[in-house]
Amino acid sequence: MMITTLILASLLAAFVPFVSSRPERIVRQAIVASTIVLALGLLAGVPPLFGSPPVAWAGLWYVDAFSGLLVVLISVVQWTATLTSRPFLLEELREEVVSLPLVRRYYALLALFVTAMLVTVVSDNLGFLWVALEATTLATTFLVAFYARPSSLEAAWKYLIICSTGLALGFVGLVLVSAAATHAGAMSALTGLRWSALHVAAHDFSPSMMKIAFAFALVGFGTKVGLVPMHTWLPDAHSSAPAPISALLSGVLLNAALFTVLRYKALTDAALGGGAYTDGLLLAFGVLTLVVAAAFILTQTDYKRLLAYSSAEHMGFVALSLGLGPVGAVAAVIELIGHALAKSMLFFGAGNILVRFRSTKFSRVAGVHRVLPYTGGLFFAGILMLLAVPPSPLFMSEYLAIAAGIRAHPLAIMAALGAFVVILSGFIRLVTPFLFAPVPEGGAAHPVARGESWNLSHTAMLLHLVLLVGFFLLVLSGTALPFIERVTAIIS
Amino acid sequence: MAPSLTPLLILAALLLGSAFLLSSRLRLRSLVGLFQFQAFLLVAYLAWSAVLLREAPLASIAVFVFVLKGLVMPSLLLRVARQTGASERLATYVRPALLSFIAMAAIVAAAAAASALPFDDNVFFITVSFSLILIGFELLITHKNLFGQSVGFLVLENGIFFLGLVIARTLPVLVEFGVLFDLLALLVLATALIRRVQRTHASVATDYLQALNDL
Repeated sequence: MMITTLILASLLAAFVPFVSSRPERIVRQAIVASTIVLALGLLAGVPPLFGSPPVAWAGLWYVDAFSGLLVVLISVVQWTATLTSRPFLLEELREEVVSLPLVRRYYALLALFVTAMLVTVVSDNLGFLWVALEATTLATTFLVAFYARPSSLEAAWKYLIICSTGLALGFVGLVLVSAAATHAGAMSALTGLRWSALHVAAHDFSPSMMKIAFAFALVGFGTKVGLVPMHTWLPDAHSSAPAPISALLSGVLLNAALFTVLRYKALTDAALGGGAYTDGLLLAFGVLTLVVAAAFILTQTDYKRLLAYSSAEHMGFVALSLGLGPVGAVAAVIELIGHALAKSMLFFGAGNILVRFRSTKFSRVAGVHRVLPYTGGLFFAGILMLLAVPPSPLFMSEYLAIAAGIRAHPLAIMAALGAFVVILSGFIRLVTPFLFAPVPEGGAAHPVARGESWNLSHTAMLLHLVLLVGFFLLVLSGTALPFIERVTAIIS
Repeated sequence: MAPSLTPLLILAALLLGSAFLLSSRLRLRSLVGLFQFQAFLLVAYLAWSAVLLREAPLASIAVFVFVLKGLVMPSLLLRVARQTGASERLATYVRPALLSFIAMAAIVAAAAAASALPFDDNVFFITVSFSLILIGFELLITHKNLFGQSVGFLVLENGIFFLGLVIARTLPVLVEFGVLFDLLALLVLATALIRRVQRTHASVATDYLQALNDL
């Protein structure tokens, strides 16, 4: 019941922007609606993490520890993204970059996007899960094209066509699972396409059919995860959308898409009697994604695209970790949480920087730390978190994955370590002048005013930083291990 | 007398033929017209399957496909083309003769892939569905304009829809409706984007959508 209430509340939030006609009031009401979604999300998502049995309702919803974790992450990041949207949109309204109808559309689509993500991660029915994941694409296409610039239109078109084509291929995976279930006599009016029921019966499914089904699911849904070579939409879409939307796209949508892949992995592993086949594929795609993303990070000229490629890199790392067995799966869970918080924090900061400098090019932005002291400081802390510098939880995940894989898959781990070195070099080369060099004379797109006052985006960034450090301490002290193990048991 | 399977084979063969013809059409009206014809073939296939299997839900899906793919989607595409003043002639990256050759290669590849799958009774039908998917891909990749790419995606989706019909007839009806509704929403969004692109660049050629590139 709590899940249904959460979904309905999130859906209703899409209508809130049309209640009022004053921007300030629209923004305030959106924050209230988002806070309600956060509260309901925590109530729905936290209990399964701490040992409550999975919640199933009417064959529609199924919330186990993994779903619960993603519900919590989506709820938190949508809330901080809505908080960050306030200063961001009000500033853009003042500068007449956006209009009141656009602000309304922004909040309505944001709420629909969050609803679609929530439905994706709580759906028991694989068919509804597919529909919800496709709905995330449909809801965000106009958010990617929000500014109607030529580059935004290009990004939105690629996003729509490439992701929809990928999801269409993912649907072939669904069709094959359905056929495998029918052949095994497990498909009935009662079970339908319910993942929880299929998972119980999957050991009777045709292994050859499930192998093909997983290959389609990995390539299809992997497109939405941003795995190379299906990633080409990701840097364009994530860099073209308004910053709080980029935060959601990078921070939690990729996780929701990965969740779908892992639902198919669980079925395939059950049918094959082990995870060797799916682990091998995930490992291969993971290494390829890491290495290719690292190469693009080194040569970036745009800071939002840098963050977008970094998201692809982290998803590659999660895929690689998932291919390393149970210890790798622990690393993957820590990485998913850490990346969601760190990357969304950085996109919030990127939004502030873009509003002040009016450019996303490294060549036109420098000295952020001097011009925007709060944003610069928090952005720097976020970069350290992203680069796995302790006390970042990503340090733990990367250490664990390397330790887990160095004996069994030395080549893959060496490739990953090589990619990390390249990524570290790329970030140091690009971000050091960006944050600390003197403000360029005439290099900026326009005269840049110095100084800023503390606003909601800084509060959101600080909250993410506190959560990251807190999570690191919880993992270090072992307090977080029980819930991590519960999630790991589902995905490995 | 029990209904015969032969009409299904004929309809599948016609689907394959329509897909092959689609691959080399370079006029928008002709491309959309062939897509519409393909939709009607799917409707006929669904209707006959409903009779053969005595499954009423298949008939309801047939009605929905007829309305959406047979009527709404083609008219939406043509109306947007008319309103935006888009060129009737569709440019491609390769010559028409080569397009037909690629389509033929796609059909051969589809037959090889279908025979490798564990569905011995349905090899021909699966060949048809894989051919539609691959020819849809061909249109997506070789067409230099947004209309051609949109039709390519719709043909690819027809192939997946047909595959679902052939090997997983039991896909719940609600899911099928959800998928079709998603497809309609996607096409509405795509046409809205096409309008914006036409307004911005006075063209729907993909040449204008190649600025975001890291290479």
